Amino acid sequence: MHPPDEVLVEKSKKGDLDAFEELVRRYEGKVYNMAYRFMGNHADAGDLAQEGFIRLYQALPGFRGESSFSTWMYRIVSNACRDELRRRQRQRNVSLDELAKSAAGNIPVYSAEESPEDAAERHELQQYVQQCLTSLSEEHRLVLIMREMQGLSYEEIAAALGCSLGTVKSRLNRARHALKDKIKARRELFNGEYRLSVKGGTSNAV
Amino acid sequence: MQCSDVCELLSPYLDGFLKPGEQKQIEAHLKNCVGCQAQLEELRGTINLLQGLPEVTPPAAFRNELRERLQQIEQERPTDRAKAPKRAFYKWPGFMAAAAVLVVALGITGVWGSPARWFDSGEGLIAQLFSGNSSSGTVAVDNGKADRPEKQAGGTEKIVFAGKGEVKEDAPESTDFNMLMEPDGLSREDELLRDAAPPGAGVMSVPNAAPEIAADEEPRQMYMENMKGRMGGGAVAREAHLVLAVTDPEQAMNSIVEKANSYGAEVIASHGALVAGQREVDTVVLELQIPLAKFGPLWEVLNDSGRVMDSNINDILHSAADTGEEQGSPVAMVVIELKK
Repeated sequence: MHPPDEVLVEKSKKGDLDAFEELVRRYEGKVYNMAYRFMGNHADAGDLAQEGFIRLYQALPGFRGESSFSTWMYRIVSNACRDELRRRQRQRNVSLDELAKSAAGNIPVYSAEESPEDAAERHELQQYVQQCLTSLSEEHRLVLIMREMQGLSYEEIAAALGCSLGTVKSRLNRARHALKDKIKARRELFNGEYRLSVKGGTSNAV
Repeated sequence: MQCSDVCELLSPYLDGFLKPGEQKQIEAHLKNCVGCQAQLEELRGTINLLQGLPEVTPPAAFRNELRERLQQIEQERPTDRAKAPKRAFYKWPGFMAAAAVLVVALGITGVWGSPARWFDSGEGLIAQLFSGNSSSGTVAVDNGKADRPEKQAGGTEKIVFAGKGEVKEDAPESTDFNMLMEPDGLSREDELLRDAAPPGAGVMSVPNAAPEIAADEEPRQMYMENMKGRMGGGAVAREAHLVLAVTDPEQAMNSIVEKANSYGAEVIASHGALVAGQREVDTVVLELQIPLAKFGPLWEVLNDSGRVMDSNINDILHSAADTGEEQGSPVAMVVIELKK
């Protein structure tokens, strides 16, 4: 019993919350991870992901299937991310420092071939990368999350952000360089503790 | 190929997103250039770090919480959707309780000269978005249901202004946003996606929401925004951010817009924030697009417009690919926050 997204979308449009819940089940991981990497902590990610799904639900009547559901979902969630950040910037009640501090949401996961020390070090590195990511502009964050974490193609990103392929290419280029520069700049603060190569590669991913 | 050109193409190179000719040129350059090799490795390392971040899982209660909120929305959904925003709009007492979506589509000619005005002294939100607008352009104001702006005969020089109401309740421990979207308003996101404007004439931010708020809630803050997309011009070559302390944010905004216009800058968006119970706007955020050539002198003027609390400037490098896509002189995008 795995009805395609389109069927669930049609049912959800008529107010079938069970159908929508199935869509949520399918996409909550993607939406939550996007929100988490965008905001940098679990508390905000939970709020933002909920907000994203509520917007999706309410926008469903306008979804006519010209793009895939997931592309459309990324578009709406991106807008929710932008709006949330703007709301915060206007309120100014959470500084970047606080955001960075509260980024400590990930619990280190130990694997068999990794010592606790290595795991702690990897966790620290990941927090540090997250802080650098959260310090970027919203557009740079979004494009990096979509490309590097959600694994979207340039075409999918262009559709989700409503821009051209050329814009995706140049924005991604700028975003990667910006993140690299942040990591390098902060690394100097940490006495070169973090290196930009070798460590933290996909082999270390949990 | 120069090192700077190569550097700009390293990112698409890593993704295999270059034309075969470019790919070969980059490879040939990399063989003989240690500097660019190091750049490439750093970029690769950065990407690896990002990709190495672990996946997180939503909290166990995530779906149940969401379900409850959706059920609540379904229960509160009025039988006649079309009437809902209107009813709410008139019912709320006075100014602070009002929120609505305004979509104003107008001809390109009359917009630049005047700052937007958001707030009415009367009941609710005003439809008067621009003061001193000498344009003969058409203005369409629509509360709540917001038709999709149509393309004008004559081409792509069509912009969208959107006012957006957002009301937030002061409930720190609550995860509720109390900012429920009017469905028909949101549906335009999809339509805008379909109608994605050509580069340079695009809609910058999708006006996507008309809040629907229970009458017994006490809104504590309200924001209004007016936005339009970038209006042509070349690639964004610089981004700058400025926070100024001023005595009267609205007045400061008007004065800055006037000065900015005299330097050929364009207002991309403006937002105002005010505190519940007060009429005064306490923060204004203004986004300007400035021809890069005029940035220097105007930046000085901007810095003199109040007490500088924070500022930064970032130059953005562009690859050869950008110049083909975005034509015209390079521009700087400036975000100015004016705080009381």
